[in-house]
Amino acid sequence: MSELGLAPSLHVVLILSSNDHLPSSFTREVVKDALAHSSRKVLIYVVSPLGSPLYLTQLRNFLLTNIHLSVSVKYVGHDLRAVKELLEKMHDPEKAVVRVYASSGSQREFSQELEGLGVPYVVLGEG
Amino acid sequence: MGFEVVITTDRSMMSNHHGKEFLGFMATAPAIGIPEFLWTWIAAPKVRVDEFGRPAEAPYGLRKVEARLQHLGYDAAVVDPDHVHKHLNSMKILMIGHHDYFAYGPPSSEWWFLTGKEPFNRRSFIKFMRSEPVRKAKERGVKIIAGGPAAWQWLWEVELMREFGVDTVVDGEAEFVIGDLVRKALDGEELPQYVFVGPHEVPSVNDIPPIRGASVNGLVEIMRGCPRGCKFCSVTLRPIRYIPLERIGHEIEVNVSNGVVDAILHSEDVLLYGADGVKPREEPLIKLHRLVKELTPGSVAWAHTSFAAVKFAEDNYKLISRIMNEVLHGKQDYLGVEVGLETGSPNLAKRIMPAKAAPYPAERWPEVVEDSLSVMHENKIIPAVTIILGLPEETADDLVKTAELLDRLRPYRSLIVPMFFVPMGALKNREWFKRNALRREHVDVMLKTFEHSSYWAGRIMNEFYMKGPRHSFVKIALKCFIAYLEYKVGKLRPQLERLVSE
Repeated sequence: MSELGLAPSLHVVLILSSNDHLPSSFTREVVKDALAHSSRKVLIYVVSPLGSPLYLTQLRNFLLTNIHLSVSVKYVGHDLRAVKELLEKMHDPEKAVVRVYASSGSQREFSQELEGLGVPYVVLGEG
Repeated sequence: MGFEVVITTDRSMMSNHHGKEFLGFMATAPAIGIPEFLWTWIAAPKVRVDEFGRPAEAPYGLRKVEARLQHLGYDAAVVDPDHVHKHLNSMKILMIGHHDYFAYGPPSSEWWFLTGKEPFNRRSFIKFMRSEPVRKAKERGVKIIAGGPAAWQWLWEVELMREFGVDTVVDGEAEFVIGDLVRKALDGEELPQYVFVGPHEVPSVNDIPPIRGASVNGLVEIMRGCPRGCKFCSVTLRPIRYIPLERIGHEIEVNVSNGVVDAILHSEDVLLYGADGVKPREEPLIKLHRLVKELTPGSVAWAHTSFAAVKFAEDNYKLISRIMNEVLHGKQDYLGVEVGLETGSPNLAKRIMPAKAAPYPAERWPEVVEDSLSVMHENKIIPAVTIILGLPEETADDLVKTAELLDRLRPYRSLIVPMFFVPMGALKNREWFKRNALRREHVDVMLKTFEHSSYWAGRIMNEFYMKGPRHSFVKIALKCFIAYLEYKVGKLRPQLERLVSE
């Protein structure tokens, strides 16, 4: 058995624009979501024009503030092209819960593509 | 022979510091008053290696990773940083660990702050990562996985992460994640870039493998976690686990059989081994020290303890006197340990470390500190005491209380080191202490700690530390260094006192 597979996971797709820093509401949303599904582990897939690993600066506050959940972060790409494929894989009913979050900046930047994903997404506020 | 998984770190960590753990603190500072090569020789001399570059002693955390991976069947070994090139043809994964990669932790950040020069550990680590063997490894597609207690620092150095080609950073107790990461890397699967191991995924005692090679200066872990809940500390977020005596004994035997004859018992608070909450208990502590005495030909030290535990153990069971004068009698002249004082202010103590004085009330914190230091002085336990400056919500009055307590601590044999607040634990999201936040009360506290420590350092070296001709040159170098510091601070003193009086 995979050592990482000891607990059920919450899968989060996080879509950011280049100027974004994650608002603190993201931490609250993710912790709330994880607890609601009895999960202590979150896998975050990040889309950011900053590229890898510079996008980690956008997640820094979240990663430094979180002390309760196990978190695994993966970079998906600069734009939404890879997200569709990723979502298709994750929408296997056997897999854990999937959430899609978009920053307000990315909503402006990728509005058409986001609608084209065909999945509901949560727009993160500034607070 | 070459290894598929090479585990290593830079020279500032891969050293036994001449068998004197406290000298390792010099590796956190820039070279002061002497050339860097001499500083390196004093603070972090090279270790003995075998033909494959495997060190005779290695940092305990690296040994744990090595043990876990070997237990899972991987071809993994700790290798000295000067010998990584020997494994270029076989290496698929390079794993690196550190307790302060970029000198953002204490006391490196204080040295940097005060001298304005990059500390040695940071320079040494960056130099290692830019060395030819590491560059060549990366060119050949080797995956780099970084971990250890300073893993979080990579989030502040993403440009260097990119330059060095670090694939994954692991933050937290790694036992349950490293096997999976190594398998994925060997199978060519995509790796996560950052992994944080939460408190619910830490290993149980049975999942923590015993080390298979010797650790630096015989350090062995006796427990993980801490019940005190201080807000600035990350260890306290994890559950408490006591390592059974037979496992501790086994690790000491591994060290002794590899020629490391001393033992450092590692815990956030050694006196809480087998404790009833925060109250030390006689039986587990006496048994532990008897076992360690029996198995260790050399001397014994404690990594950390707390003032409250020392006072409680002595007040209730005369336990400190018994350990020092009965159990360890005839074995050594003194016992070294690190203890956190953090603040002399009961008000601040209540806010940021409400259980630090427990089972005594936080209001009595200064008294607990003083009583405990008196017990340690009587029993020849020499503490390196830390104070944190710039804690969130700290006031001028809190600093005055700390300065007043320092005056009362002068008679007690100890070294007192000020550190600046670094956001960790439940305070991870708070502001770093910044140069422009320095106030005159901070300067006053720093001067008092310097006076205290320079007074006691000379006496400790003459009466206890580094006896015998083997260490005479290092001892001379250290005395010169202390004299140089006294000279420098003496020159700066009028300016500093003017600042304090203004």
